[in-house]
Amino acid sequence: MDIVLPLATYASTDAMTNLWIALGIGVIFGVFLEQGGMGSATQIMGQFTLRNFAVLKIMFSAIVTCTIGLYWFAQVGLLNYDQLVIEPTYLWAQASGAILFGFGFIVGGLCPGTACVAVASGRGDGVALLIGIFAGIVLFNETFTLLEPLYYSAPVEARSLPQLLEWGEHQMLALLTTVALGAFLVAHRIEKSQAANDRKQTS
Amino acid sequence: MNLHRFMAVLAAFPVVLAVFVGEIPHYDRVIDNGQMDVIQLARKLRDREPLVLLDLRSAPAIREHALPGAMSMDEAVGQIRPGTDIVIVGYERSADWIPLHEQGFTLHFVADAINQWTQTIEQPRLYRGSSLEERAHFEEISSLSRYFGGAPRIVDRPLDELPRLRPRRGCGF
Repeated sequence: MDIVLPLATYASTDAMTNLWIALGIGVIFGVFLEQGGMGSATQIMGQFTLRNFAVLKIMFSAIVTCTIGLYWFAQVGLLNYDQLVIEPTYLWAQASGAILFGFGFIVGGLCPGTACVAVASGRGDGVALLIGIFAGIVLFNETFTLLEPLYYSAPVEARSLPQLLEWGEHQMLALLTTVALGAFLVAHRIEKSQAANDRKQTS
Repeated sequence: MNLHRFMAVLAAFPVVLAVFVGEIPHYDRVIDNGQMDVIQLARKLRDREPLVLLDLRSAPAIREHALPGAMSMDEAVGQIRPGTDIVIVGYERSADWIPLHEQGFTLHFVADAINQWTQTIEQPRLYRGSSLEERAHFEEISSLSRYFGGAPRIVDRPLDELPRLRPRRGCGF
């Protein structure tokens, strides 16, 4: 099979066409998120109250599906894995970004992806969050010179877990799938016990 | 077996198979290990070393500007035999070299070859006031450049590359 992926490297399409393709893929992803109930802040907040693990199940399923897809696409010769763009790791910037992100997630009840889904479903909280996201982007850009030292602090040379652990991608795939299955099992048990507790309290 | 368990088993199958198949191919490592610069390539071409210079860019791009003796994949097919030394340019947006690697050919890659060839071989420049080492290197490049019809020149350093002078104190002129 001929290598054709990533399209940005090997397709003869221009940058604008690639952006349209990315938009199409994003819309399909959004449809599946919406179908999984990820446009609803109430459903998402169930994750933080340990009553509904739909977020964990959907996101972990998406990650494992993507990893299996990438592995086999590369293995059958459709994808040049090395040409995938992986953002460099800067530990402090990403750790503080993750804390901010988590705070925003709890306050807003939606993440950027699910906020877009909420907007597409016509929810007002999604619109409010998206306005907040764009305000944050503008603020970040305007204050970037101040944040720059933090942004580029503690760089990590390895760009992926296989590189960091010096494992093969097949080993990482096996570990990720095992962790996902274990997480699903634990989540299922917690959901069941929480539901039983709720039933006891109501009766 | 309910549907969820069936789907979990179905999803586990490609993962278990992956464990036996092993690592995925890393083509960029092949490129990194086979890097060659334009000066090395120019020497090989000047010395008429037996090699196939393969240009993997599109036909219009090759027609517009190509390295001396470069061939497209279609032209090169008949000339590639076991043991042939292959130098590849314009590989950045093409994967056509991968079958050659898988057939066991020795491949060399020249990164950003057209720009590098233009700047280094066709139009080499030396700034006035350069060091003796830079001059000696330029002399060598110049002889290569002239061989390929290039025009080596000694030029003034651009203003934006000149060392900054400290502003004068005193009067405001």
